[in-house]
Amino acid sequence: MSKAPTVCVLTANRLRDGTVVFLDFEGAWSETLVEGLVARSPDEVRALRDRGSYDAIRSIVVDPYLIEVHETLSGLLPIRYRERVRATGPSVLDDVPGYREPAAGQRQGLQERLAYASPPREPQPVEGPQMHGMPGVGNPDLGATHDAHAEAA
Amino acid sequence: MYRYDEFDAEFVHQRVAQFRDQVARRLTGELTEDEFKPLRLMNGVYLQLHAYMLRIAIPYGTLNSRQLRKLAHIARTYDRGTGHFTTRQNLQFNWPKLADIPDILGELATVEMHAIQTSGNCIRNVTADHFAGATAEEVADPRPYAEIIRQWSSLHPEFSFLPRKFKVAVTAASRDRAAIRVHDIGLELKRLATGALGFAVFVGGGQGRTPIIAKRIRDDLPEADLLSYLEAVLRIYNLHGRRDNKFKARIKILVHEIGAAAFSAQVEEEWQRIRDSALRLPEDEIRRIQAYFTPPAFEPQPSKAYLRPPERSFERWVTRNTHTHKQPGYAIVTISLKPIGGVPGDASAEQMDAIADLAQQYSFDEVRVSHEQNLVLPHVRIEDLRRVYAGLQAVGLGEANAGLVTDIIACPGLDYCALANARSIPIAQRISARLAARQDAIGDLRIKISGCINACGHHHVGHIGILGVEKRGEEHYQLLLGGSGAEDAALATITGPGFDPDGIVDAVAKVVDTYLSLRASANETFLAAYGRLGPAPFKEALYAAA
Repeated sequence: MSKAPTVCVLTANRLRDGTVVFLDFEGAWSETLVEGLVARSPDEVRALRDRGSYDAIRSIVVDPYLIEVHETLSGLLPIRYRERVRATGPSVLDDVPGYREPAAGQRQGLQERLAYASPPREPQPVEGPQMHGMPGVGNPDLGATHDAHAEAA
Repeated sequence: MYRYDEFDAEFVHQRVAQFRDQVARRLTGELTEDEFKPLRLMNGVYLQLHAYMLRIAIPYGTLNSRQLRKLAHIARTYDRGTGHFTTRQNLQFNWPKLADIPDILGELATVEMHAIQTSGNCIRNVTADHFAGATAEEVADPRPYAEIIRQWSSLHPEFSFLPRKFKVAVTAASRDRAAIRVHDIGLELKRLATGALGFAVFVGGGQGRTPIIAKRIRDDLPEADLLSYLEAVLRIYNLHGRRDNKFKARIKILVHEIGAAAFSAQVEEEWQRIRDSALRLPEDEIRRIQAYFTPPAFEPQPSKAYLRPPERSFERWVTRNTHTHKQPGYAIVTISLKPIGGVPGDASAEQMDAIADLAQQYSFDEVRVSHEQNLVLPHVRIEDLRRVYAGLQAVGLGEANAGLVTDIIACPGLDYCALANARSIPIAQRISARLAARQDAIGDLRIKISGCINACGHHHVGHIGILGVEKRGEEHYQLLLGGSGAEDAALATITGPGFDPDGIVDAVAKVVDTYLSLRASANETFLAAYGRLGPAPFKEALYAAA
């Protein structure tokens, strides 16, 4: 039998929408860990566990379980990295150089670009080297027989 | 593409109604979670790290614009505006509310889509070469056979509770873009010695915690015997596959433990018993299904392209992201869902709508999903390429990196998945940003990242593979080199001690630097160089200074 954590918080997912929730010190399910109710003794741990089971039976939450936490000056910090991600949400980076967050309203831009990109009415067939500086292109009709993936695994 | 018949449509609508009732009873507490969980999983609903996740089947990765617009609508209305294309050619929504999911499934049913058999120990979504029906390399379009397998395997009463999940992949080209050798069953459609179409059958491949390359157990399966042979394989697996240990329950373990010859012999015996049963495919039924995949009405095109005036970024994109089409004057276009520093496989609702527009206007209304987490416009006139490129650029999808080092496969990892031990997406983002400036010089190099041993990110078959594990509560990453999921399938090997999240990005850069300094020429790919050099110089670069 695994040893019960002695400093822990009760977490679960809310049944209706799946949101991560933590039992707070007022006995409510909160979406933040900040006011999580900390159990520091075996009796408190047992009480939290019972509360989780009770609210799961009442179909308020799903999959309640205890997470170990450090109590720091800045607040509660889950010990496992997994629980830190779960408490704070996806860590997807939004400051990577070159990364552009897809924005709404870009479809109008698409139409503008489509209009802008229209070829001349009487295009001239490409003669000789089809495109300067190109080591090869995917379609033989573009002037080469080298598929872009030909040398791939 | 295949259209639902009356049976399909009625069945899917019935299933939506059933699930609506089941969700209502769950929300009122009439059903417990233990009772409800298998029901929701049968409808593709998982409970992940932060929220519910809905996995939607895209059979053999084929979509039309109406379906893609519906996915965009669902992303916008019920999720957070984004969908995630997976290595199983599926789409996942990461934030649906349970109470909304019946409505989502109802919307999907209106465009002949569903989430059935995207979970559970059954035959999952059948995957196929994403260039099927377009590439000059294939002997025939493999998708009619994938559709036949889909119909056979949907709600198959004998195979709804297998020892473990079961995945089938189909290709018709000698160049394997469907990774058939790392599937439970891989099928290669080919010309038999008789000149007729038939199949090479590979069995027992897979990744996960025990990666194994599939064994070829038959090389001359006649077309008409496809289903009877698959049924025989599934029966032997269902009979002898282990049910006592989830981690040893896949067919690859059975084939490995008893040997391919013994497994094949058992299949052969069963097959001979059922070969001439109702499972024999009638010729007219094959042709009926094939009719759904009749090639589009291609128009004669000039034999030369009209691509002037030249523009460097467009040239790069044509070089990397277009591929030879079987029809002169047309090209296959890969839409990279790997913007530099972006989330691999993610597409916003606006992007999905834009791609649907482009597919409708320029690609005979067809879109494909690749297992590499990109999208494909399979039938684009060469003279329309510039317009397609402009359309993609307008929504941030003009990256010219198909098959390059920034075209990274990454599972959702610890950012979303309840099973994961470490994050995949931010690692992919950082590697992408780190190597983007040099990607053309580096050339073909596939990086594949999994956030746990289940290997959804295909790290075992990456030229460079990364496996995230948990070590003393923190993320830790193992580095693997030399794998391939293609026709030269090979399993990558671990280089040595792992790295922390910063260290793994540096380690990949060191491997790339070592390759660039030691390759015989600019034409020697990473995989070829690794095969020639072996792991030693890469290990030395990684660990010598430590």
